[in-house]
Amino acid sequence: MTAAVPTPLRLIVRQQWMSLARERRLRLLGLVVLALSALALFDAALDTRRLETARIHDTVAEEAVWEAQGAANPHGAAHFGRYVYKPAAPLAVLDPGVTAHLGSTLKLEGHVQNASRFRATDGGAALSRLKGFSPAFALQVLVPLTIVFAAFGVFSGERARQLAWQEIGAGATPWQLMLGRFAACAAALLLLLALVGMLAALATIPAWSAAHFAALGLMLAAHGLYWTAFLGVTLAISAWSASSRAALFGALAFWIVTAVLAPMLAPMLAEARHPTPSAEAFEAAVTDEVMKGPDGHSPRDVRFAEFEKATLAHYSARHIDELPINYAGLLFEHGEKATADIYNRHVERLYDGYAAQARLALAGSALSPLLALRPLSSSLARTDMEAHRHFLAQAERYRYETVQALNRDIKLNRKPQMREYASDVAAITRGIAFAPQPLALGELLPRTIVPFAALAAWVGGALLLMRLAARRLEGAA
Amino acid sequence: MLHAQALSKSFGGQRALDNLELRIAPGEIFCMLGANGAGKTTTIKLLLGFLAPTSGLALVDGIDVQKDPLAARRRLLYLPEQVALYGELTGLENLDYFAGLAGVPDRTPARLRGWLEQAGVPAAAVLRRAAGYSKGMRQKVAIALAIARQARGLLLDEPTSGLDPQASAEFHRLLLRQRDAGAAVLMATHDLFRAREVATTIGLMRDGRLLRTLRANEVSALELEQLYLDEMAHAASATATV
Amino acid sequence: MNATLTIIRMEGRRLLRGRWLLPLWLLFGVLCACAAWNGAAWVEGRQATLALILEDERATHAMRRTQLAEQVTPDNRSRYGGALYATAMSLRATLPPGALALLTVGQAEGYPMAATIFPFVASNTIFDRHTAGMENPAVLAAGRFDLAFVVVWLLPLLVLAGSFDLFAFERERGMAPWLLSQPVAPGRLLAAKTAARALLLALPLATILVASLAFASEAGPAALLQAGGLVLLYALFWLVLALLVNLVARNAAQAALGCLAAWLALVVLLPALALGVADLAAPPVSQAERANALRAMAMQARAELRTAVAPDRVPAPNIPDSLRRRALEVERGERLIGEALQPYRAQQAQRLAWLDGLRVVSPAIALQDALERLAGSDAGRALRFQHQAHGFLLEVRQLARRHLDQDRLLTVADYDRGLPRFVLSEAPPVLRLGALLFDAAVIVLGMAVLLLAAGRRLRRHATFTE
Repeated sequence: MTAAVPTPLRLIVRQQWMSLARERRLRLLGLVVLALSALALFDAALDTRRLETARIHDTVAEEAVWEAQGAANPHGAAHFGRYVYKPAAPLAVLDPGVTAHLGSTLKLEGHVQNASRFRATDGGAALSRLKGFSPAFALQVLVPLTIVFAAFGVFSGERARQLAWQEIGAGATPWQLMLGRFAACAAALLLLLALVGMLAALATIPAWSAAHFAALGLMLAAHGLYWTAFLGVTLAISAWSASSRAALFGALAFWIVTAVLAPMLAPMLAEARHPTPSAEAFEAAVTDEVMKGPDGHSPRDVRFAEFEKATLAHYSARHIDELPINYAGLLFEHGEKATADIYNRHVERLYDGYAAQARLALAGSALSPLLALRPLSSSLARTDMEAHRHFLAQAERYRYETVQALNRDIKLNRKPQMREYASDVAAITRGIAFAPQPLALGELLPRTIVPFAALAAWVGGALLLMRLAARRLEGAA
Repeated sequence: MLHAQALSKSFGGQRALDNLELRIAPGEIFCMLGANGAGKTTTIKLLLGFLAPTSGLALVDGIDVQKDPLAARRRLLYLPEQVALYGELTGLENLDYFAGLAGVPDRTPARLRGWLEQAGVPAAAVLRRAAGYSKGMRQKVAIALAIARQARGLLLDEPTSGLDPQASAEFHRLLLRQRDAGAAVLMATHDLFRAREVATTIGLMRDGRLLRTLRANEVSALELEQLYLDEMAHAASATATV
Repeated sequence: MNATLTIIRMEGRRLLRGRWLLPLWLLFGVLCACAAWNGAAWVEGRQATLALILEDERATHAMRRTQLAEQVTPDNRSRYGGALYATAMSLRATLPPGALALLTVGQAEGYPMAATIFPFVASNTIFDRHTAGMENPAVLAAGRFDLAFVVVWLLPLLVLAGSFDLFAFERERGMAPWLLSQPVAPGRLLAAKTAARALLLALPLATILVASLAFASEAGPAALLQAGGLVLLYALFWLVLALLVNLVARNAAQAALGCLAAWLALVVLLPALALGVADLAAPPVSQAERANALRAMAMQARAELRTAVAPDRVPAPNIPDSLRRRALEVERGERLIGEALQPYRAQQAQRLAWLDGLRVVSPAIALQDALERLAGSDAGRALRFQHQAHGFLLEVRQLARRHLDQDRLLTVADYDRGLPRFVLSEAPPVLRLGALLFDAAVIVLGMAVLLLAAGRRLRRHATFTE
C-alpha cells in the first residue's frame, strides 16, 4: 500500500509553513505582537475592573447625596439633579471604540438633556495626545505592519524570485505557489488570532455568556477577514515588484494609506460634509424652539397663556388659586413634557447627523478595509455611538420619570397657602430604578452586514490581485 | 612598500592567516594563488586595516596600518572583485568623488577626463551614468582612480573574475603600466595563467599559510598548474587522513 | 574639510538625482497644507463658538438694558430682578485661541473654553456648560489631522524614508570596503552624508512647515522661528537615529525595519508606557467622585443656613434680603468647596506634574508639548484661564456684595458704561520660552545619546566589512 502523494498545493503550504516557523525574525515579530496585545489586554482588563469598582462606589455615593437632601423643594431637587454612570462594555477591553472620548457620567436634571461628561481624555497634557495603544490598535494597525514586513519578501528580491522560478520549473503553477504561500501565512495569522481570542476571553470571564462569545467570535472573524485581505494585497505587491525594496515601499505605502491616513481623514471629511453643531449652537437652537415654538411663531408666553386658559376651562375655575391642583406643578409637568419632546427631536437630529457621518466614513471602506473593520468591531464591542445612544435613551426615560414624579408631587401636594413647600424627594423617587441594559446582539447585527460585506469584498479583491500578480510571475519566468 | 611581518589572524578558534611573511617592493607584482578560504582576502583586509591582526604587523611604506590606517590607505588603492559605483553619477563624477575623498587636488574636468582616458574608458562613456557600466568599465574607473591618486600600492582581489578575455587582457596591460610606474601590487586571483604572465612573484596559499613562493619567470604555465594541483591535493589527502 | 565638502556635494547630487526628493517635499507640502487648512477650520469653528457665547452675554445685557430703560417702573420692579440686581449679572469668560492655534488642537478639547459667571453660582460649576462638547467622538477618536500630527507622527516617517539607507545602500551593494579603503575616516564620511540629508531633507521640511504656518496664520516672526527651530531639531533627531540604525543594519531591508521599529518605539510605545506609568504613579482625579463630594458640600451649606431665617425688614429694601441670605450661603459654600476641592486639586496638580515630567521619555512627547505651548492650546494655558475665570467670579461677587451692602440697583448708565469684562492675561513670554527650551533640550539630549551610541558603535566596528 503506497502512501498518497500530497498535491503540489499541500506541499507548498507545508514548505512555506515550515519556512515561516523556522525564521527567527518572524517568530520574534509574532511574539512581540502577541506580547504587546497581551499587555494591552491585561492593562485594559485592570482598567475596566477599576472603573467598575469606581462606578459602583460613585452610584452609592450619589444615592447617599440624593437621600441626604431630606425635605427639599421637589423642583429645586429636579434642578439639583442626579448623576448616572455608564457601565463599561465587557468587550471594551479588546476594542474601546470611542468610549475614551465619551463621558461615562450623565447629569440628569429638569428642563435639560445633558451630553455625557467627564471624558477620559479631559484634563490631560501633551503626553495624553500620544495615547491610543489598545489591543484594537495592536490588531488593526500593528499586525498589518507585521504582515508587511513578514510578507513583502515572499516573492520579491533575487533569491525569492529564483526560488519561485525553480518551483515553477519543478511543476508548480504560479497560482498554486501564490495560494500555497497565502494559505500558510494565513494559517499563522489565524493562530495569532486564536491566541488573542483566548486572551480576550480570559480577560472577560465575568461576562461569559453565549451572546458574549458570539460577539467575540464575530469580532475575531472580522479581524481575520481584515488580516487576510491585507496579506493578499501584500503578497500581490510582492509578486508584482521586481526588487524587494520596491515591494517593501509599495506595501508600506499601502499600510500608511489604509491603516494610518484613511482612518484619520475619513471621519474628518465626513464631518466636513455633515457638520456637527457645537454644544452652544445646539443649546441655542433648543432654547430658540422652547421660546418661540417649533414653527418659530408661537412664543412661549402665548402658549403658556393658552395653557392657563385651557386648564381653567377644564377645571371650571376662574382663577388658578381656585384649582384643586397646584398650577405651578402642572405647568412644570407640561413644560417638562414639551421641553423633553423638543430635546428628543434635536438629539435625534444630532445622532442622525453622527450616523450620516458614519455612513460616509463607511463608504470610504472602498479605499481602506480598516474603515469597515473599525465600526464593525466597536459595534460588536458595544463601544460605538449607537451603544451610547442606547444608554442615553434609557437614561432619558429615567430622567423624565424622575422629574415628572417630582413635578407631580408639587402639583398634587403643594397647597396655595404654603409659602414654601418641601417634600421627601428621596421617597418620591424611590420607586424609580435605573438599570441600564446593554444593546442586545440581535439589535446590532443588522448594522454589521454592510461592513462584513465590505471586508469580504476586500478579501475577494485581494485574491483577484493575487491571481493577476501570479500571472505576472509566470510571465516573468 | 607592502610588508607583512609574522602576520596572523584568528577568528574564534579558527586560524585564517598563519604567520605570513611577505615583502612586495615597488615595481613588483605579487600574485597570491589559492582556493576560497586560503587567506588571500584576509591578507588584503589586514593590509587595509579592515581587520586587526591577532599577532604580527602589517606595514605599508613603513607605516603600521593599525596605528595610522588613514596614512596607510592614502598610499594604497584597493580594487575589490566587484567595483561598485554610484549609479546616479556619471563615470566622471564617480572619479571626481573618490579622488576627492582621497584628497587629490585640482580635479578639473580636463584632468579627470585625462585619467579616465589613460585607464581606457571610452570618451563617450565618461559622461554616461555609471548604472549602465559593465564590470570592465567600472574596473577601469577604479584604475583611473589609481592613476589620479598615484597610488604606491595596489591591492587587487580577484580583479578579472567575470571579465571576458578581451577585457581581462586589457586589464592586465593597465596593471603592467602601473607596475612600470613603480607601484607595488598584491593580487589575489584564481587565474593561474594570467598570474604567470603578469606576476613578478607567485605565492601559493592554503589554510592561511603561504606554502611556497616562486619567481614567475622560472616556471612555465603547465608547471605552475601542476605545482598548484599538487599542493591542493596534498591538502585534500591531509584532511582525508585526519 | 575638502573631503567633507566633496562628500556633501556628491551626496546632494545623488539625492536630487534619485527623483524621490522632490516628490517627498511635495508630499510634505500637501500634508502641511491640508493640516493647516484643517487647523484653520477648527480655529474658525472655535472662534464662532466663542463669539456665540459672547453674543449671548451681549444680547442678555442689551435685553436687560432695554427692560430697565423702557419697562421697569417702581411698581413692577420685583419682576425685573434679573436686570436690576447685581446678584443676577450674567457674564462670560472666554479663552481665545492663540495666534498659532491652527498648529495644533492640543489640549483645547480637554479643557473648558469658556465660563458662565453668575455671582451666586457655585464656583465649581462655572465651566459645566462648556465642558462636554458635541464633537463627534469618532472624529476625536480618529485623532485631529493638524500640523502637530503631521510633524510629530509623519515627518519622522518621511525623514526616515529619505535616510534609512544612508549607508545600508553601500553595505548592501558591497561598496563599503571599496569606499572605506579610501583615506577618509568612516566617521567623517557618515557625518558628511548625514549633513547632506540635513541640508536637503530636514531643512526643507522645516521650511515648508514654517511657510505653511506663515501663510495660514498671523503669527509673528519670533513664533515662526521658534516653530521652525523645534521642527528642524526634531527632524535632525530622526536623521541621527537613521545614522545609528545604519551602523547596525547590513542591508536596506534591515535598515528599514530598524527605522520603523524605532519610530514605533518612540512615537507609539514609549508614550503609551509613559502614560501607563503616570496612571499608576498619579492616577487621574475621579471627576464623578469629585462631583459627588461637592454636591454633598452644597447640601451641607444649605442645611447649615436653612436654620438661620431672619424676619423680613420693613420697609423692604431695594434688593430683597433673601438675596443677602443667599450671598452668605454662597460664601459659606465657597469655603466648603475650597476645602473639599483641595485634595482633588493637589491630585490633579501631581498628575499634571508627572505628565509634564514624562515628556523627557521621548522627543515626540517633547515636541508635541512644545507645539501645544506655541499654539496656546497647552494644559498650562487652559488652567491659567480657569484660575483667572475663578478670580473674575470672585471679583464679580465682591461687586455684587458692594451693591447688596449699599442696597444699590443697577441702572441704564451701568449697562452703558459696561458691566465687568473678562480679559485673559497671558503668561509672561519668558515662562513659555523656558518651557520651549526644555522641550528643545529633550530633543537635543536624545540626539546626544544617539550620537554617543553611534560613536561607540563606530569605534568598535570601524569598517563594516563583515
